[in-house]
Amino acid sequence: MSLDAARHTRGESVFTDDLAEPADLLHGALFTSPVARGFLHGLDTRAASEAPGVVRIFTAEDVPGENQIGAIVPDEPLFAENRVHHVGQPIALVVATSPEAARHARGLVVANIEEQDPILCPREAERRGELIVPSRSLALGSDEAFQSAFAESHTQVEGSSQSGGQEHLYIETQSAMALPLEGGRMRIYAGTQGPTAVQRVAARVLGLAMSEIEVEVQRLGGAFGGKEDQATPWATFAALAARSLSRAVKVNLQRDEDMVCTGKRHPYEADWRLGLDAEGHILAWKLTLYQNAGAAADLSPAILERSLFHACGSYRVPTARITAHSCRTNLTPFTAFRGFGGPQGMFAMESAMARAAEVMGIEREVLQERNLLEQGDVLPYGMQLKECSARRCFSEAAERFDLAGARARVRAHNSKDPLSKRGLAVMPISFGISFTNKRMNQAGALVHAYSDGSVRVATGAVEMGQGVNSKLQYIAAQTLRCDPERVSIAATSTTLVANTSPTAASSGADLNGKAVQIACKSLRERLDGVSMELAWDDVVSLALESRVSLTAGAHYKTPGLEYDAQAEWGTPFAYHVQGSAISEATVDCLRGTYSIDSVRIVHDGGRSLAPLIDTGQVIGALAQGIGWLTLEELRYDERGRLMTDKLATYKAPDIHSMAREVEVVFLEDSSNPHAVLGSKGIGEPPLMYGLAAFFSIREAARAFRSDRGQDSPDLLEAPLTPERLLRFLYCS
Amino acid sequence: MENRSEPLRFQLNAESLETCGATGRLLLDYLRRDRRAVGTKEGCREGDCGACTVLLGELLHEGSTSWVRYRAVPACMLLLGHVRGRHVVTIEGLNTGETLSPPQRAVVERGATQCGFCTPGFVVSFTGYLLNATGYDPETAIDAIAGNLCRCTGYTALVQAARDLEPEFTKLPPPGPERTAALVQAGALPEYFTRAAAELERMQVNATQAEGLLLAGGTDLIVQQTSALDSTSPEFLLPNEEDRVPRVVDGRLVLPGACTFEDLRRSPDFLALWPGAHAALGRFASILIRERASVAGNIANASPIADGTAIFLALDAELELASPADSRRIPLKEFFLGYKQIALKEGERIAGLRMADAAHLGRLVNFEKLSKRTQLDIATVNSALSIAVVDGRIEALTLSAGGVAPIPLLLAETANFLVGRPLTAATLIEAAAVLDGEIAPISDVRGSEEYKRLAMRQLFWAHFLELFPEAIAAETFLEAIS
Repeated sequence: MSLDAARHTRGESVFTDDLAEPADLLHGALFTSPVARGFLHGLDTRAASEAPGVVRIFTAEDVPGENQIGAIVPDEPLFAENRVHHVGQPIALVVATSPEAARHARGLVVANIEEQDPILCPREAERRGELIVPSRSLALGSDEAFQSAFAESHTQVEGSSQSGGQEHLYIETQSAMALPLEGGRMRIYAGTQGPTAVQRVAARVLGLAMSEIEVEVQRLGGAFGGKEDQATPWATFAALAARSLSRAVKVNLQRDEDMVCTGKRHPYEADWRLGLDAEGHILAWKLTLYQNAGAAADLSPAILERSLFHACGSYRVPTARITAHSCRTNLTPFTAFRGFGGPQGMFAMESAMARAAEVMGIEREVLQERNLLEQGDVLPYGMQLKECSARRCFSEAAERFDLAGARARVRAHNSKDPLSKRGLAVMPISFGISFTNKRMNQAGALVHAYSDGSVRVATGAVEMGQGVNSKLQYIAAQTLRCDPERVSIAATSTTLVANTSPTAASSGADLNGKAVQIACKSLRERLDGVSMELAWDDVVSLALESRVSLTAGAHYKTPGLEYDAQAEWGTPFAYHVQGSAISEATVDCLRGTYSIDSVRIVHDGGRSLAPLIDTGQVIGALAQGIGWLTLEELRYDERGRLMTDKLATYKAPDIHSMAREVEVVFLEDSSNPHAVLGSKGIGEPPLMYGLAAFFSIREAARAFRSDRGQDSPDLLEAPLTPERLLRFLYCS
Repeated sequence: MENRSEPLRFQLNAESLETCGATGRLLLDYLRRDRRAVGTKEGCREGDCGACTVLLGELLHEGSTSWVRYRAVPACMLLLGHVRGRHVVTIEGLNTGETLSPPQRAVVERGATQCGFCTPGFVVSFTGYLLNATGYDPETAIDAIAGNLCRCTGYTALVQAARDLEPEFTKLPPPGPERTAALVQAGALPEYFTRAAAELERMQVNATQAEGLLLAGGTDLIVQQTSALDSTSPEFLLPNEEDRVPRVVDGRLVLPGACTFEDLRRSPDFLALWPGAHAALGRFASILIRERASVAGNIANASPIADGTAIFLALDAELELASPADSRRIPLKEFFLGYKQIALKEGERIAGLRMADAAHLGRLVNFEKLSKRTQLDIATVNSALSIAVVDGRIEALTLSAGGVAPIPLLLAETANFLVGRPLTAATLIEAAAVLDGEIAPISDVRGSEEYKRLAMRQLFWAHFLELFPEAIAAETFLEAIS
């Protein structure tokens, strides 16, 4: 169970906006672009600056350093200058004595913007050459082999699919508070997954050295990728104002501001062609992905890369041509979200597999099973699978959850009631673990034992509900051979551990846990040198007496990673995580509504460091996957304004939308030589079990149409909302 | 009108407080900023996430005893004026010393908390359930936390926590002072709860007159106007639960305007009128909002997709409009003049609703609603029907439709067409065509025009498939539309 759980239930856990506030704290509110694309000719802030409580209004002119926050590509100003590229792009920061005063005055700012027609569609952006970075392609097999594989195919399916964006909906909105320190230094309390990113960008914008800025994070109220790079601007705004006014400044977004101004999961469109032999083995796979990146790069190039890497799903693909375009549109830059482009790639492959199964007249799971990855297979980006449990997970799920029986029950149900149909779908996953950017696969740890035997562990890992602190505590206690209760985890701080990677890519426990393990090992070795027999408290005390250091620092880097982006060939991942889910759904074919009856999962989690936490990660990710594909819908009007900008219009799963029965079984006797204590990264992979829910609903809907002797058009647009479903059921 | 002379008194957790600030201030802001009760979280400020859930207790008198009845409500849906003379309990006020309360313990043991931001709200909702449930039933316990969103856990662990609590609470006295005492005994409430009634008794609350805006639950207005209300002091309607419940008077069921949708859902007289009401009303907003939203507000808001209004239209309800000088009654169907235009005169308010009681209605009732999320969502389209069929012939019928016109629509032409005709598929096919001509949906964020037209056809048939499965079978319907 989580280290923080009891405190959470008592309302005593401290989030950024709960921190004790300095008496003279000021509050910032952003004036942002009301239009998606245009020329910013001027700004009238006179009325706003005279409004009650207003202390100062900041714009691009007030930036002492560089007005630039782009991490991968320097294409995103902190404050818009001359041009605006999306609705919600910050133009001015109003600082006042209360949040109400700041928001009121923000409403008085007037921008003179010459509006242009926005580009909203990724395909249109691609046609116009509006790309964030040059397009990328993976190729497996020679051109000749690829062509002849299609020519020899017994079955070919060709089509398109698309998956929508997704709001993170962390329940804690973006929040930061900056405190000026002596000598112009700055402490920033930021709700971020990447404290080092905040430090780096704030230093750049403020014209300070990174060493002059401390960033601290106690915990996040949910993040899911939405506070990886997207937390940076708000913290930087607070720091900018605090530095200039020499007073503490807080910037805390309200829900509607957060929904309009921050990035979300990328919408993708896909065109594909799949060739298979008579037995259903995949021979050739051609895929083009259009990523809607929004108005600036943010993390889109890295996300695009992961889409490429996961565009074959869990299947052995002998020849492939996979191309992905990162398309610049006039929407708020899309960003990291659990799965990081992987789910969108897998959705394209599963769509093609579903079509192929229908054309071949076999069950989808038969086709899936036939093509599962095996140990030793070479993936289209050149990595050879050293270990692979895809088939074991699939078979175990089929047996344990009686796939054949479930199939028969679905058939029986569907022959009874003409207005109620059931569907079933299996979803095998295979997800690569590591940051695809090699340099990010490193971590540091700092461990202190104090003279009373208590231990403090610091790393770059940010606790956001994923339980990383509990895992670090376990690893430390295990390695030090002390009672876990003696070990506490420090708030994440750039001063304690520097140059950290964001807590992301399912690698928080892998990387930081290894660093903690190494640090604790060296500390324990020193203590063993003092005494092998003494109890923990006594050995610590004796070590101090003997002038043996009770502090250990360590650094870890993932071995074996090498990827050549020019050749698109190499080993970008330390290992893969596999598993299989079986979902059943019922569609009310009168009303076009559905319920997910069950999702049952066999997941290879390695040797879990904390089974209760890992089970929670699997189910939580599943719920987000189900929400992404069946419910959550971002809608923009023709001017590029987000229409679903509050919880009244954007619907994430509630307790009743979740599958009625959820069962998670971890694959027995599994271990993992590539991560700490045999464990495996757990955060992202299970999100893709949500695809099972989509395809089970789709199958039920198709059963209704085939009952009535109607051909079915494609239903490969996610989210599969009640509107899409009802119109599908009754279209002619 | 800004600062009333009479200070506002209420109890916050174990403390009795007095404030002279503006009564239009949002309780959530007051708690977090003025009182630093930061366990109450801000997630959305529109009643949609439950992170700011608190208990609101009101003093009830039953014979010689008085006790405090608590309901779980979102603090972002309450203004300070709403809590005058009441007891507000935040998560801080539920902590029982060092040991965890049973809901807290169940959440911890099941791993039903991850980031922890929504967790206090869940604990408050669970506790509200323990205070109010007629008997512990895991399914209704789950309904009680359904207004709380969690983005981390996927809810399964929360469902398990709700199940885990059952054995501990199977034998509780009925809600009342003994229930409260039993929960204190069980460690589910701190000891000061037993003194809350006496504390509230001491706070004599007099209804004061103020100029300006009249507010009942305010669940819609507060979302739209938080900042505008912040420094004002509107007039609050604060009837106690005992004065909000529907009553039968001379064969008519009378709903006070301030009757909340949860009051209605608990009303035996309303359930007698329409046995399906408990389930149907369970799909209106969330339980947290239903405890606040009033029937008068639902009507006055004039939203074309108001679920309550659709039902009351189908029940041929009549409105009682009152002004200081006068009162009058008009049929509900005449109340809506155009988009958000209503027949309320200056100084008038909706005092109540009247409709036939169970003994006089003589009709079957059905309600249908389509929304993006099945529960806890605003309707894309909705429809209600009351109908009497005698010997296979439709004798009387009222049909409403929401989301297909600028106002909550009474489908008069469709009804005219149907009354007197035999209840057959042939009749319904023709009636569906009449209906399609009577509605004028537009495309908006909730759905396209095409979808709304199709959906309304489906809901029209759904009424009959639900109420008369023998006369109108699924096969009949499918044949009819093909």
